[in-house]
Formats: sequence, C-alpha cells, structure tokens
Amino acid sequence: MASLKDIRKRIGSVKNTQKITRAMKLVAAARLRKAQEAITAARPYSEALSRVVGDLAEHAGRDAHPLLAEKTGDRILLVVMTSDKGLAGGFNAQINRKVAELIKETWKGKDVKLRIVGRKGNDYSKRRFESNILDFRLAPTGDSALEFSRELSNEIVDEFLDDKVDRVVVLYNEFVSAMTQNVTEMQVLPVQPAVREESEDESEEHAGAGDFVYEPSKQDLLDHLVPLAVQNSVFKSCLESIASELGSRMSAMDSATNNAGEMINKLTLTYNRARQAAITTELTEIVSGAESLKG
Amino acid sequence: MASTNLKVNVVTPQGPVAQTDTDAVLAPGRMGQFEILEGHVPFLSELHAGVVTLGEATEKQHFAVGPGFLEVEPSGEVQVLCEQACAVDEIDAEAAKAEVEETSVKVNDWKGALDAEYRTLKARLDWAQAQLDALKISGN
Repeated sequence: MASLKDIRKRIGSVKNTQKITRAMKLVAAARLRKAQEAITAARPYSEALSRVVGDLAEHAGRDAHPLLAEKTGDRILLVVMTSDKGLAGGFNAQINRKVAELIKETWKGKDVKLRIVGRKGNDYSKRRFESNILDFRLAPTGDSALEFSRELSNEIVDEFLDDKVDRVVVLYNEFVSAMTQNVTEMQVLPVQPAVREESEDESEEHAGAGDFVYEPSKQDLLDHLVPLAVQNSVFKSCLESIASELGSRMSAMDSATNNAGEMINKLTLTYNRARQAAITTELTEIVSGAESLKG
Repeated sequence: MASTNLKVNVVTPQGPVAQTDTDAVLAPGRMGQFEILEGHVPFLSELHAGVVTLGEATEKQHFAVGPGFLEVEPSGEVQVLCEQACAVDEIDAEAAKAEVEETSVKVNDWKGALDAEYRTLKARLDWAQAQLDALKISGN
C-alpha cells in the first residue's frame, strides 16, 4: 500500500492538473463567445453575396463563368480544416477519421489531393497519405481568417482554372453548440449558386429583378463576384472551425476538470483511510505496551 | 436642411460597419466613382477597393472599403457589401503607410504570372492604399 506521503503527493499533482484544465476551460469559453459572434456577424454579408451570385448565375446560366462550370473529371482537392493544438476532445480526431474514410472508401480510386490546415491534421495525414498532401499551413485565428481565406481561395481558384483539379471540397467542423460539432463537407468549386426559394410572390420578385440596372454588365459582375463568393465560403468554414475548436476544447476541459475532482475525492478517501489505519496501529501498540508494563 | 431619405447599410464579413440615413453615396466602381442619390433605379454594381463617402449636403462620412458590390434595392435602400470596410477615424495611418511601402515595391517588381500570390499581394496593396486615400479625402 502506498505510503501517506505518496498519496499526499498524488493529490497535489491532480489538483495542479485540475487547475490547468479549469483555466483552459475558462479561456476557451471566453474566446468561444467571440468566435460565435464572428459567425453571426458574417451571416448578412454571406447571405447577400450568395443571393446576388445566385441571381446572376440564374440569369446568365452555369456556363457563364468558368468557376461555375461542372467538370467531368475525378480529381478532387480536399481542404482539411484542423487546429494546431490538441486537448480539444474529438475535434481533430473526427476530421482525420473522415479524411481516411473519404480517401479509402468514398473516393476510392479517385485522385485526391490534400491541402491541410492545422498542425494536427498534418501530423495525422503525413504518416498515412503523404503522397496526397499538396501543402500544409497553420490554422488561422479569428483575426487572420480574412487574409488567410483570401490567400487560400486564390490558390484553389488558380488550381481549378489551370485544370489541375475538377472539384474542391472543404472538410470542416460545423459549429452547432459547445457540445456538438458536425463534420461537414462543403463543395466550394465549382461554385453551386444558391437556388432561389420558391415563393408565392415569385413573379413579382422576378419582375423586380428584371428591372435591375447592372454596372458594368452581368458578365463582368460575375467575374468580380464569383471569386469573392469562393473566398467567403472558405472564410465561413474558417470561422466555423475556430468556434468548433473552442467549443470542443471547452467541453473536453470541463469533463477533465470534473474527472480530476472525482479523482481527488477518491484519493482523499484513501488517504484518510490509510491515516486512520496508521493511528489504529499506533494505538494498539501503545495499549499493548502499557498492558505488558502493568503485568 | 438637406433631406436624409437614403437608407444606407455598409456590411462586411466582420459585421455591419455603418447603418445610416443620408442624402448621397459616392462609391468606387470599375469605371471610376459613381454617385447614388435618393430615388435611384434598382441597381447592382461592382465595388473596387477605394473610398466610399456617405452624404453630400449633410455631414460626410468616409470609409475605406475593399472589393465587393453595391446594390440599390427596389425599396430604395442601398446596401454596400464589401470584404473589408473601415471608418476613416479608425484607420491606423502608420500601419497602412508601411503596408503600401512594402507591397507596392513587390507589386511593381512583379515579373511572374499574375497568379494567386500576386492577387493576394495586390489585394493587400489596394486595401492599404484605400485607407490612405480615405485619410487624404477626409483631410486628416
């Protein structure tokens, strides 16, 4: 049985761990709020942009812009969004599992290239799918997400236009709540224009749309806006991924803190029992010693 | 007193930057500046990096904006949607100046194809330049 001193030491170390996990949880919670606000703030822009691109594409047809045109080939570029740091529950593991599933099963036999974001995804795929990896970069933060997505989307647009790939898909964790994140595949290229929802006053709306004056022309507008829409999709997935990472870390650290608490309770119980046993032994010795002196 | 019946929203992926009633919007399109007044027909235009000015007879507000688009809705409301936007008094002049100096050298010396790297660099230059222009126009 462990000595009293050993148990005391263990309790101390578990307490320290608990302090760390609690601090990580609080930090993640504070940053999560900011990340969630960023997602909400991005929504109006995103909706307006996809509505306008959808309208233009509807009028002009899918052949109007090379980034809208479906290709026949099988070459897929997968952008994998993970984080640089671990200790975030299943956040990275579920993405990595999906990558393996896509490459080995869903897209078996197809030419899949990977662009990896985040150190954790790279560590995983480097060992398994090294020949598929095209490039790796560190995960963005909330502040660098815009520049990050501009750079990344420029690169994937070039690859698509140079006919190196036929489809570009982003794999990321969609933020549902701090407890739940959904692994989501989003096709960014070719751009899939939002389909206008059928509504009753559609004819009226259409009449309105017909009266629009386009400057310079619909075609030029598409040229200008479609790359922005691609960039915005990438940006959106960055924000979702950041919020998911923080949410996942928060829940993971919350349960780690609880587990540490349980462990401390158990160890304290063991410690008290051992202490009591030592006292009892000592008492018995004293009593029997006294008895023998009397005799 | 000039009328202020033109509702304008300036929206970016970071959230709304301005929401105001004014009398005119001056914005940078592909072929130079254009102005929207009250009662404009429904309209959709490209927006390039530059300076958006709200107000003409009323108090003027200047914004540095990135690429995006401007839409006049059938209701008459004006939506300015752009990738970045910054009110003139929030611009960090020093940072913008340093960015212009750094990127303009690279853009001017660019020899290769106009690929992703070039476009990323150009976007940085345009945005920094837009901020400096906005400062200049507002007289700061």
